[in-house]
Formats: sequence, C-alpha cells, structure tokens
Amino acid sequence: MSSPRKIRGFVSSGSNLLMSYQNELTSLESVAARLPFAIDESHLVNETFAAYMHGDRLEDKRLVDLWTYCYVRRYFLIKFIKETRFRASELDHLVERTYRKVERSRHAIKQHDRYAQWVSVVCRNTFINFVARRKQIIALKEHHDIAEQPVKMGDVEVNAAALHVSLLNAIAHLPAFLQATARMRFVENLSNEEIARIVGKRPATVRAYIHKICTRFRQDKDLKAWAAHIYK
Amino acid sequence: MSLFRLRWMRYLKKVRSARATRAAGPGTPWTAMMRLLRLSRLFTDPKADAELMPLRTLLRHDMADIPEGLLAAMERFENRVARNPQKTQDIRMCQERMLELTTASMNTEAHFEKLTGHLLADMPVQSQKKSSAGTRGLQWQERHAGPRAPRRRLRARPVMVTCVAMICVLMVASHDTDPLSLAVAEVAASESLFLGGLGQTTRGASLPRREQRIPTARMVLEHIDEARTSILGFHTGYELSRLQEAADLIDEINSSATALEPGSAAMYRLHVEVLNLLQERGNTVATPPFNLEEDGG
Repeated sequence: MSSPRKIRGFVSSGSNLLMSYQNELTSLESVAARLPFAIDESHLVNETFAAYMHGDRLEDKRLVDLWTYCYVRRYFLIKFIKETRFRASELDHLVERTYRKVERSRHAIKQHDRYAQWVSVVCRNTFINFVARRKQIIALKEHHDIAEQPVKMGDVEVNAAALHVSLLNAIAHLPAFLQATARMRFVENLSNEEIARIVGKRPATVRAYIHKICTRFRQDKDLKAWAAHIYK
Repeated sequence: MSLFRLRWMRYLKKVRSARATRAAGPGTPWTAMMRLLRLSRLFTDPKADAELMPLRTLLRHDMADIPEGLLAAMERFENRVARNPQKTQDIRMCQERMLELTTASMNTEAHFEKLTGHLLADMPVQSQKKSSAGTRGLQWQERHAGPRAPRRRLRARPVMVTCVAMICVLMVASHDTDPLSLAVAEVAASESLFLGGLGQTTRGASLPRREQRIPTARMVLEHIDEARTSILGFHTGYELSRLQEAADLIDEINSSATALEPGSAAMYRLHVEVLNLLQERGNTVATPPFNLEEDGG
C-alpha cells in the first residue's frame, strides 16, 4: 500500500473534512500508483495493450486492466464533479458498466495502437447514454439544463492532459531545428512574429517551419489516433 | 460599376466562400489536426482553467504521478490559483464535490479487486514512472538553447572513432595477410627500398650511386603496386596484365647475366609469389625457372 500523500498548498491545513478528503483521494491514487506510467501517457498504454494482444501475458493483462480501471474511474469522477446533479451512488455502477463493456469488446479491436482512444470513446458513449436515460427520471427544469450541455468533442475536460502529452511527444519526435518553433507555436501559443523575433528568423521562414511541423504532425501515430477519435 | 458586374462579383464571392467552407469542413484531416492542436494547447491555456478545474484538481493532488512534461503547465496553474481567490474557491468546491462522491461510493481499491479479479498485493507500487520522449521534463527553453545537440555529438563520437579504428585494423590486416604484399615488403627491406620513398634517404637527399641499380627493382615494385586493386581497402585483387609485366621484369632481372642488380633471394621469392598468383587466376604461365630448395633459398 502506498503511504498517504500530502495535499499541496492551502488545502493541507484544514478541517476534518479535508483530512477525510485526502484519505479518500489516496485510495484512487494508491491503485494508479501500481502503473509503471502515468494515466495520460496514451502512447505507452497503447504499446502495453499491443504487447498484451500479441503475447497474452498475465503481467500485460494486469497492466491493461489496471490502466482501464483507473482511466474509466477518473473519467466519470471528472464528469460527476462537473455535474452536481448526478448522484454519488451512480458513480460505481457507471464505472462498472463501462469497465465490463471495455473488457468484453477489446479483443475485437483491430488497431491495437489506438486502445487508449478507443476506451475514451466507450466512456463517452456510455456517458451520453447515461445522460439520455437519466432525463426520464429528473425534473423538467433539470432536463432542460442538461439537454443544453452536449458532450463536447474529444471530452477535453477529461483528456486535456493526455492530448497535451501526445503533443509534447510529437514535438519531441520532430527534427531538432523545428522543436523550438513547434513548442513556441503550439504549446506557448506565440504568434509567428513573436517566434521570428525570438529565434532570429524572418516571419516567412517561421511560417514555412510551421507548415513543415503540421505536415509531420499529420503523420504522428498518437496525434492521428486522437484526431480520429475526436471526429469519429 | 455596372449592375451585371456587381452581381457577378457577389456570385463569385459566394462560390469562393462555399469552397472555403467545404475545404475547411470538420471531416478533412487537415482541419481535424488543426482543431486537435488547439485542443492539445488547452492544458496550458489560462482561459480553460474553469473547464479543466476538476482535472487540474485531481492532478495537483499528487504532482509526483503526473508526466514531467505537464509539470511546467501545472506550476503556472498553481501561480494563477495563488493570485486569484476565485480560482481558489473553485478548487475548494471541486474538492468538496469529490469528497462527497468518494465517500458515497465504494472504496476504490476494493472495487478494483472485485471488478478485475486482480489482487493489488500482487502489483507492486511503481516509484519510478516510465515516460515517453516528449515528457522527460526538459523545458522548451533548454531545448531551444540546445544542450541536446552537443550531447548527441558526444555520444556519437566514440561510436565513430570505434568504427574508423575497426576499418583501419581490417584494412591493415587484409593487406598484411596478402602473401604478395609480404614478399614486396621483404624485397623492399632487403633492397633498402620502400614504395613512396624510393631512391631517397630519410633526409630527402637522393642516392646517385644506387640510381642505376634501383630502377629495375623499383619498376617491379611499381608494377605490382599499380596492379593492386581494392574497394576501400577490402576485396584486394590484382590486375593480371600488370602482374604479368612485373613477372617478366623479375624474370629479366633474375636471368640476365649482365644485370647490374643480380637476383637476390627476396627477388626470387617475389617471383614465385607473382607466378603463383598468376597461376591461381588462370593465367597459365611457365613454371619458375628455378627451384628455391635446390638453390638453398
């Protein structure tokens, strides 16, 4: 078992409520701590899944199950935090249903290098179904409010970290002379003129670099998987 | 401007607009990638703080477990939270909601074991997390400054030196094991000659006394040197016509009674080697006109 971890900053000094909060959160993290990589490293998740499908080893299966559980739980935890109308008792049921669905269908996946994205799609569809069915048992006013909140493409509020990690990986695989420009443009969100001033090149050169970067991004396996997932 | 022209321009504008819309539609891969890149950037965007608050709350709880590449963005988020009381309040609300959810739901560890059938006791805690290339904690400023490139060169240098040394050793070894090369070296040593510096002392002064004696031996060695063929020092071979000329010259030296330079034992050996080589390559020349054993060589 992992040792209890401290909450950062202002939260650490607080009431019994916050102490309890810390203990509760530790239980999810103590499960995730068994993973040899972070939950958001979709590239490594896909590699592990491909190894499991290829070799059918117990160690790989454990890792795949562990990641799947952690991802699914975190997915619905985030959704439930955002939507205060959902009851806490529904969380376990939803996690269980989604996990079973993933476990049942994952052997039919043809593209093993898109497992993480596929699980995300399963979570999204299950959540959409959950919201649609739940409309029948809540008040009309709430119905109206929820209907106006469509599930966003790509579930950014859940996958933002994973998308960012994929972007950083794609940048790391670029040739060295393009990496700085790519970081400034796509991570720091600087304009072409600002980048040109920093790197000491003409804006036209920076534009040409960015075109090259985008062309290479389109060939990146992980980014392609996320793009396909978002526009499925 | 005529009415017709005005209508035509309006029509043209509509057509161009429709084309642009179709080209930039959500189904096209290029647009999909551009939108994905915008979404990927959200994690570092302060405007997305409200939307990503639950995720950030979860991540900030244990910074040790998040990929190192995300740390810079999380630290900036922490600074924003410290400066903004509203964001502090938002985080507190997220934490309270999370507490409400986790206390009412099943214990996560027990739930995992029940659902998957795996025992957490069989799975050790991983203190060192693997990370992929982009998330090893190197900041973009460091990359821009370029500490990586020299490091690569430093790593590449020993490999290059090793490769060059191996090639040199192989070249020398392949050259030294050639019997003809050994015989040439023997002649050069016995006649005080060496290829590339023939007819000169070590101080560069010419040797007029030996000038008349050397050319014949020198010509033999030059013929053999020119006859040698190789690809980057490997696959050594000999051009048969040049070898034949060398053999004829040696024969001339050895058989001529009036030669200034009578055939030495080393020259006989060289003759044997050249003739053997010619015989091996299918050039059926006459057998050596002497016998080394009989001559006591």
